[in-house]
Parts: sequence; C-alpha cells; structure tokens
Amino acid sequence: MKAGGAELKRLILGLRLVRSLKIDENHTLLLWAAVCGFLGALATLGLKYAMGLMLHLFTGSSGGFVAAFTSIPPWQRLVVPVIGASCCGIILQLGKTYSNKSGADYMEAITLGDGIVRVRSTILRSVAAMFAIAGGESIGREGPLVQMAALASSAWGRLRHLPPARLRVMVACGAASGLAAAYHSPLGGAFFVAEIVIGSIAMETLGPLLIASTVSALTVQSIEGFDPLYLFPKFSLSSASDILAYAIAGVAMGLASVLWMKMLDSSKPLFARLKLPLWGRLALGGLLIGLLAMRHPEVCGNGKSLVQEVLADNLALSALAMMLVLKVVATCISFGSGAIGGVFTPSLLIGATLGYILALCLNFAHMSIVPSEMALISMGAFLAAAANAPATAILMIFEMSMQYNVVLPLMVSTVIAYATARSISHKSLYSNSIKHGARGVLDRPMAEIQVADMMHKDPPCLRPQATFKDVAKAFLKSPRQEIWLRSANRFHGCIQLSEVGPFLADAEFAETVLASDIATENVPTLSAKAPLPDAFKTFANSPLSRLPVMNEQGEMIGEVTRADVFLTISELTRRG
Amino acid sequence: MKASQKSQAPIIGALQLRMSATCTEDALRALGAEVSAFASINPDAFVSAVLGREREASTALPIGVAIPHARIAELERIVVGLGIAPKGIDWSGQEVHALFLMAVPTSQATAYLMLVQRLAKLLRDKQRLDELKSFKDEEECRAWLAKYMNLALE
Repeated sequence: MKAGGAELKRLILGLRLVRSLKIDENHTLLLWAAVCGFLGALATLGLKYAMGLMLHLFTGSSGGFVAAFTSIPPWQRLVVPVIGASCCGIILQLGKTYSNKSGADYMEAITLGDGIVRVRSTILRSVAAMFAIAGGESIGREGPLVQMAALASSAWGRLRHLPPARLRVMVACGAASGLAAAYHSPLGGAFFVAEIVIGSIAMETLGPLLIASTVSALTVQSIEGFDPLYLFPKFSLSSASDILAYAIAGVAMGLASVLWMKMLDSSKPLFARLKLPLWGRLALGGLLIGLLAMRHPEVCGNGKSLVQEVLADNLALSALAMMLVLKVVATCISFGSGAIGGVFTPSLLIGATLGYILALCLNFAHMSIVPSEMALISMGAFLAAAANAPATAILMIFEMSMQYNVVLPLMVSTVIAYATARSISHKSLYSNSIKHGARGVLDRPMAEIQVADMMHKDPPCLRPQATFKDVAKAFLKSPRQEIWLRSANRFHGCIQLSEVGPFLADAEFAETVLASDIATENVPTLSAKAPLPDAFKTFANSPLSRLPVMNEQGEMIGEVTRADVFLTISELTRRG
Repeated sequence: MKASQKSQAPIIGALQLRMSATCTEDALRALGAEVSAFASINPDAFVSAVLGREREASTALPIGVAIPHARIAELERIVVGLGIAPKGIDWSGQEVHALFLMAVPTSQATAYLMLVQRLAKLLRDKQRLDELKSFKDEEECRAWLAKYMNLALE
C-alpha cells in the first residue's frame, strides 16, 4: 500500500508538471518530431556507412568518390559503373515485378499522399541506389539518404496509428532530419522541407521541422562530428561594387538554372527512345559514365569534393571548364538512364563552377571580385533558382560555409536568380515529384474524406468502475484533455482533465469515487462514415479536444482529435 | 453538452442526528426521503440509484463514515443529507456511524470531488470525527458544517 502510495505521488508530480506546462497535442507533436529527428539521423548515417562499404567493395577505397575512382586502373573505372548500374537496374526491375504498390517518394508522401512511405519499395530503391552511387554514377546520394530518414519517420508514425495529416508532418520531420544529417545543415534542412515540399514556412509546420532537424544534428554531432560541409577561408566583407557583381551573377545563375533543368528533362526521353528495359538503360548509362571515367575519374560521384576544390582555388580555368562540361554530361547520363539518386549536390557543383568562371570574366572586365567567393555565392543562387527556394539556399550556404559575411551578397544573388528563373519557367528540380505522386486520402474532395480516415484506433480508455487513482494514472500516462469511459466497446462518456485536474494530487482522499461518478455523459459522438465537414461542424459545437468514433453498431472504435480535423481541412484548402 | 462546473455551493437538505436504522437500505430510505423532498426529486428513483451505486463499490471509509450518492441530471446544485447513527449501521460488513448522502447534478463533477476530498481530509482527524458524531443539537451541527465544510445553511 505504501509502495503504491509512493508510486502514485510520483505519477501525480508528473501530472502536475504536465498540467502546469499545459502540454497538449501540439506539444506532443514536437516530441514525436524529436523522435523522428533521432530516427532520421540514424537511418541517414546507417545508409551513408553502407554506401561507404559498397564503395570500398567496388574500389578498395572509401575516402570519397573522386579519390576512390582515381586510385583504380582505367579498365576498372569502365567496369565498375557498368556493374553498379546493371545491379541497380536488376534490383529495380525485380522490385517492379514483386511489388505492385508504387513506393511513394518522400515528397509525394508529404505533398500528395497520406504520409505513407512504403517500406519494401523504399528499401529496394535504397539498395539499388547504393549500387548505382557506389558504382560511380554522377548523381547525389542525398536523395536516398533523405528517403530513408522519411521512411523511418513514416514507420514510426504508423506504429503510433497517426492519421494522414499528422503522419505527413512526421514524414516531413524525417525528411528535414535526413537533410540536416546529410548536409550538416539543420536550418537549411527544415526550410528545405517547409519551402520546397510543404510550400509554407508557417510556424505550425516549421516548428516540428526545426525540432526534428536540431535533434538530427545533435545525433550526428555525437556520432561523427558536425563540421561545416565545405571549408572556406574567410569571406571578405562585400562592398557596393561587389554587390553589383553578385547581382550580375544572380541573373546569370537564374538563366543557367533554367537551361540545366531543360537538359535534365530532355535526358530521360533520349534514353526512353532506345526502348531498352530498365536494367539495359541503366547498364548503357553506366557504360557511358565508365567511358568518361577512364580518362576523367572526377566525373564519378556527386561532386562534393570538386566543390571543395573550386572553393579552395585549386583548379585552373581550363580544368574548370572541362570539368563543368563533363559533369553536366555525366549527370544528364546518370539522371536520364534512371539511376536512383539526387541532383542536389551536382547542382551545387555546377553553380560553383559557373560562378568561378563568371568571376574570372568579371575580373577581365575590371570588376574586382574574388573567384572562390563568387563560386560560393553562385552555388546558393543556382540552388535557389533550380530548387525554387531562395530562403533555403541562403540558410544552407550560410550553414555549409559558417561565414556570416556571405549573407548580404547571398540575399541579393539568390533573390535575383530566383526571380530571373521564375520569369522564364515555373518548373523546379522538384516540381515533378511534387506534382505527380501517389494519390492518398488527402487528395480526395473534402466531402469524400470520412472520419475513419482521420481516426486513431485504440485510444486510452477506462472502465466506468475504475477508481479515482486509476483516473490519475491514466491522465499521466497520456497527456490529454479527455479520457474515455468504455466497457466492451460500449461508450459511457469521458472524464475531462479540466474538471478533475485540481484533485488528482490528493487522489487518496477520493478513494470512494469511481470514474462513472465524475464522467461527462452527454458527449457528442462521430460516425466512422461521417464526412469531414460533419466532423468539423460537431467540433465547432463542442469544447472537447477529441471526440469518440462509433461504428454502425454504435460501438466505440476510436477517436478523432480536433487538431487532426483542422489540420486536414487546412491541408485540403492549401491544395485547392 | 452542458457547460458544466459553474457550481453553486452544496447545501444541507437534511439532518438526522439520531438515526435508528441499522442496515444500509433502511438508513438510505430514511435519509433519502428528506433529501429527495428538499431537492424535489423522486425519492424511490433516488434511493434505488444510490443503492445501485453502492452495489458497484461501497462508499464507506475505514473511519466509519460513508459517502453514498447518486447523479441526478435535473439538479442544479449538490444537496447533502447528514445522518448520525449512534448504534452504527452495517454498511457492506463495515460499521458506519455517520453518512453523508448526496444528490449530485451530473454537470458538477468538480464540486462533488471537492466536497468528497474535503470530507475525507477533515474526518480523518479523530477529534473532528468525534465532534461530528457527538452532536445532539441541529443548530450546533449546522454551524460546525458551515465552519469546517463550507456547506451552505438552508
């Protein structure tokens, strides 16, 4: 009895804390966001290490793509991309044969789907990506890393039986954590998902994203350190004439990004015209990459080490121009042949190289500008224009370089690049993923979405005969405003925290009180088949934060929260 | 759903300081009739609801005090009846000398909990419990209830 009393005291202390901090659904969402951040970082690091192992298997080195491919003889540089790409193609082909469900890309799952990232197809695609990337394809590994982080969060949300609107937030948190871990850029990761994928930087969505990317960054920091992605010598303070040069760069990067997207877009139809099976197309792509790599191993990989070379002033103009042409061709081959991966880092490299070359031209025209500084700013401007995300570009370049002086020229250059590109085309690197995705619950008209689609199964319930101590324990176990009373699926009402909260601390003085003595009996209920607008009307007339859901037999089968109904409606409104 | 918990203070609706009943049902019927009359509710329905609640779990405390009650939808404030049984009442095997019978509006869970906790805290003090059981005069008893329980006088 004494031990039970001590346990209850502890529980009550916790409950007081929960009540005094006014913890509600939105706060628990932040907690889940933190979990997603942790899981996302682990998934990203796990896949990154697996890719490193695969690269070691192919080349006997794992120091970086360019270094690894430079260290092997030319014949091996020809063979490895063919093997890697063929394996990637075979895995994708088998995946198509054995899985009829299309695996939603994380962007689709967030923007158009219902937050479900399929486990089997994501793992298959990640393994395929490992072969393609470790095989030297000129493509970024960030895409699969972020997809894996999104999968971890989606799986976690599904384990918690979260409804679609909330599950989408979890997937978004996973993607933000993946980006934060991959680019060492927590702010940029959160803004990438908010600005590019969700299309809003409202605090309701940005808050969980920031928490997820922060936890992800902390996890990565404690496992492998968290240095800036690109080492950059001190960035000088920009004068007015420098800003003019950066404005010119903005226009140039805006135009170049449109051209770059057109090249990427036209690369896929070129390969499709060959009427080869997927594995055949990929093998051909691998062969072309291998042929290029025989003389120029620097075409292999995402180009991260090359960006560092450009920023460190290590390349001559002729080498830069050659690298730019080769990298553009190689990335179009990899992308067009269907290799799994991203074009984020290759785009950074193209922006940096173009910026460096532009600075040399401006110097020629007597405009004094440091080429490596122009390369860094142009990288951001090119990214802003290509990804349709100026805020993300500013934050990412700032975090990648850790130089405050970049902010002013970056703001000018990215905004001009963005405006220039949008005046010509509204397409972005990600518009295909965002516009053509798996259709989910949230893609239906509002009247066709039912309460069951937003329902949480198995909410915490008590029997009407439960004691007041049981009530106190239940409120502590799940911080919420209402606990349902149910016996054998029959609904009896609810106990509201606002009514009983002040008395939970002295639960032992209410030993004669049963849950049924203090229940609110006249609670509105929702039918599982009721459409979303009906649920909205019912919530509008009720002070409760959640309502019970009944089946056709009148049995309680779950609950729906006010936050989920409102979140779903706001998402549908956003999609128009 | 009613906007609950705009509670009015509970009131004393009945006082029986020398109950002769020795079993739960007799005691509840005797005190329940007065409480029902005061609260203008059906006495039979009220008493049978209280008995039904007692069958689910006894409301007797180990200190010899019982707090039986029933929830009544149409009431606006809690009506309390106090019964003192010098000979003791057999309350599900436990001897009870004082009972607080309550008719509780369904919308007043907070007021009910407050009252029950205040009662339990106060009467665990043996001196206060003995004082309560020793009252012979109704006016003195009402004054004591007003002082320690903040129960309104009617």
